[in-house]
Amino acid sequence: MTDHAWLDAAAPYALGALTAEERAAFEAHLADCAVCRADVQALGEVSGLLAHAAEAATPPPARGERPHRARLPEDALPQRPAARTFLTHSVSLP
Amino acid sequence: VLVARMAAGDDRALGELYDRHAATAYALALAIVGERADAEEVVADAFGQMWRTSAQFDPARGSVPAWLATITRTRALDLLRARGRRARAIERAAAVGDAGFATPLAGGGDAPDRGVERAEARRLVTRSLAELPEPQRRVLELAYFGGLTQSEIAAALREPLGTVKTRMRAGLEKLRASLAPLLSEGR
Repeated sequence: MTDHAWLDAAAPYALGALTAEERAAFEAHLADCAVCRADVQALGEVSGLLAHAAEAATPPPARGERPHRARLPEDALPQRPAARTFLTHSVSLP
Repeated sequence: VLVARMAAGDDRALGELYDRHAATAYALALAIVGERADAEEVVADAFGQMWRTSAQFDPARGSVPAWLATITRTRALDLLRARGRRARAIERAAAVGDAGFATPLAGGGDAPDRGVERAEARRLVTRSLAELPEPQRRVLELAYFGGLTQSEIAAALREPLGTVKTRMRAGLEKLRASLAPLLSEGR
């Protein structure tokens, strides 16, 4: 596997650092390559954890600014047009 | 399991998922977009997308938090682009010094929290990231929080692309080792 050229792309891919074209090319390769798929999955789990580092750096949202739990299901219902319309009137659920 | 319930149309499952992961998603969104109102919009969009696409979620391909992080990040970067703020973000990212993106802000205490588990994860990830060699940490942060592509990072740092790729992999591999306790948990 030492000269598997594509392995180079796995880390940038896992970090979302490929351009759209690079990503498309790599994903086409992923479809045929179990080695790269496994690699990408493993690295993706790691990069996913980086989100926690953001949390440490973020002051907690002030009360009332915290994304409101109650409004989500309504926002998310598939029949709803778009989140955008909804966001103009913040908390609206009973 | 929650995702399967969501796919079956159970919106309480969505609520539980939100309780469990929204704070992390919000923090991630905020780190990228830089403004609270935008971060909230990103989080709402991200959960909306999870809800709509839950049937396609394949646990074999990754965990729920990783999935949510990917969606949130993509949405946040889309929003930056849509607002034409990407250039500024790149500038800001390139200007970030040793401090990095993930330096805890003074007085940033704990949000009312769901258990030690997440606080623990936060501490471990932050520490592991801080312990990386600076050049490795830098490329990870520029990519993940700055939303820069590998080529943009190479240009910003005036380093060869190959070096950037190598650092990304080396950094992620090191993190994989130090974060093993979080990775083996599954879910």
